[in-house]
Amino acid sequence: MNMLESYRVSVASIAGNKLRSSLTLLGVVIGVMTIIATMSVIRGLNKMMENEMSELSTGVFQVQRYDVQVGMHVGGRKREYRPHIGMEEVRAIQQNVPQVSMVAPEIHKWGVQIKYKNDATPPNNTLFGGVTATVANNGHSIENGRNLTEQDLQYARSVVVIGAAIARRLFPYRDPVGQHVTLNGQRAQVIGVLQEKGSMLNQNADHVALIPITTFERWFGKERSYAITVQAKDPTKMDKAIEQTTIAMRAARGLKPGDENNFAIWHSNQLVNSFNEMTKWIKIAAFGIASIALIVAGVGIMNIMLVSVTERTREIGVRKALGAKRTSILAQFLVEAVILTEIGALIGVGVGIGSAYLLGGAANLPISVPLWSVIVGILFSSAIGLGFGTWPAWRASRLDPIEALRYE
Amino acid sequence: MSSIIDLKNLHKVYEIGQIKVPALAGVDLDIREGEYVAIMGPSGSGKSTMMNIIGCLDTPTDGIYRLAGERVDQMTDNELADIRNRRIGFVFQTFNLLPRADAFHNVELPLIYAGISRSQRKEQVESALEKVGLADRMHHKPNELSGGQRQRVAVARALVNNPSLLLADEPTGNLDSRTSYEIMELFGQLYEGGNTIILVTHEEDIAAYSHRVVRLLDGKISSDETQVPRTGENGMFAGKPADEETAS
Repeated sequence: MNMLESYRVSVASIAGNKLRSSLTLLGVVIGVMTIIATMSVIRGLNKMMENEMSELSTGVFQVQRYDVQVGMHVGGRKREYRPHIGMEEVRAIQQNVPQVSMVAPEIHKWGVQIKYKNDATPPNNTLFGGVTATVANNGHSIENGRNLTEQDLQYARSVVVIGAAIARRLFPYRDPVGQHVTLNGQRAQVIGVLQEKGSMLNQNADHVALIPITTFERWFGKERSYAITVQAKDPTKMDKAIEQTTIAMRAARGLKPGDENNFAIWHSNQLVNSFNEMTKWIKIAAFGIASIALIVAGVGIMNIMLVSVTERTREIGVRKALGAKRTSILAQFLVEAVILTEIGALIGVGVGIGSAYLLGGAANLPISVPLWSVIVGILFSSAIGLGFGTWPAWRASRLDPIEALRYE
Repeated sequence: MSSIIDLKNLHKVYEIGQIKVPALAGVDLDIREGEYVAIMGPSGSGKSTMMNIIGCLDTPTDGIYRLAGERVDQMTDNELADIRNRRIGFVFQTFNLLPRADAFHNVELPLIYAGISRSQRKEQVESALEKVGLADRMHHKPNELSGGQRQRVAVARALVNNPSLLLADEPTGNLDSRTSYEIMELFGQLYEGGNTIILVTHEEDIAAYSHRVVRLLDGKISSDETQVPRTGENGMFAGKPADEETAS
């Protein structure tokens, strides 16, 4: 008997027991759905991270006091004290690392309210104290007006470059450039507006305002540690630039050989990497859950196939009497188990994709279903069908035709 | 006429735990092509065992069995399946049709296992169903057919592969007497058409239709007699035109 015949017999048998078949399928559906929905959502999150979290431009890395922390830090260690990063480090990098340009110190303050006349933004802006290069290093560009200049920095002028969201909010009908705004009580003149960078995840990108770092310190004091953004001259040799910067930083901070770095360097890829590191565990957990669901489903399939074999003992006897070989019977029941799981897998793929898009829609995620998750889902459940269908099919194939024909 | 069934000193011993139970104790039997033989015997006589062995569902413990010249007593499972498929057409007491399949598919089954092409199958199935007078019931399921019609489907299924041997095990056991005679008439026609038929029964009435009666007792043949078949004290075969008789 060829495969096509086995297939037809199996479909007829599954269709003949619709309720039983669909209940058996449920586990497979849930398992495959879990794989596909989780992988799609995580991929959506990753994509968003890659697109939107890359605050820094290509080839830019950042030197800062503490490590970036993304994700869960269960029982995280207490942070040890580290000395501030200040102008000495900026100069050290500028002078000692030939591989870099645009060394830009920055400090920031969260939750800043910006007022214009009687209008005010919510206190959800980040105020940066920076330099000219801060704009480019953070992946921004000037849309309107001008950037900070050396003079602004030198004289600690009260000037500000505002983000697109702030401009839209406070100056819906007029050009902001030249107007005076108040930032947490400090008056400054708007000299430029940043191009919209807006992103779904990082909506803060446009809720920023940039003032000269000197002005920042004049207004809010000097006690903050700098973060330094650095542009590698050759973005393909960022590792080398980071290495040299590390040496320069260690020297500037008086570290002895063997001392641990008391500063951190990161770049966008690292952020994405640490996010991936976190989602890796979610992926593993989802696979675990899906595997359990599929194994439970497999046991269910084995059970139902055993029932099916018992119910059809007579049929098996008849088929054998008519000339069915052991392999034909084995194939028939094996194909039935695999088709049963495959139907479940296909439904699971559908439901999984559907729920991924539903979740994505609700959470505003760019959903795309990874093809491999569909393939893994289908192959995994086929393997389950094959694995758990083998024993019942083997039993069916070993039935003695005489006994089987006598079976009531 | 060449020999279809050739049994030589056939033994079958069942082992139930430690005890050996002989079911067949040296059976010699020769059945030639075109014969219509009834095998009779009380329960426990070895009748079923012999039928299973003749039907290649079981193998003898000892002795030689040639089916259409082929030694089948030492065959493997797969070879036996193949022999059953090509050589033997079974008709069972309980019809043993697949309940979910229609008459056509039931008759088609042996051809599927024989690996015959679809178009060829269609042709053979239709002709077999026509032979048993069910050409118009081809797409009825067993539960939509009467008992007699079901047994006709089973006969069509047994014939569809042009087997060397039609092996019927109490074919009328589940039928009322009127339908029983109908089926026996069909067997009579098949016999006249040249088919070799072995009928296993315990009803003298049914055995009376055959040309030869083999009786078993305690695993041995107790008698083997040819007889003039009953061709219709009920007029079942009496009305047949004489020229058809001579033609066959």
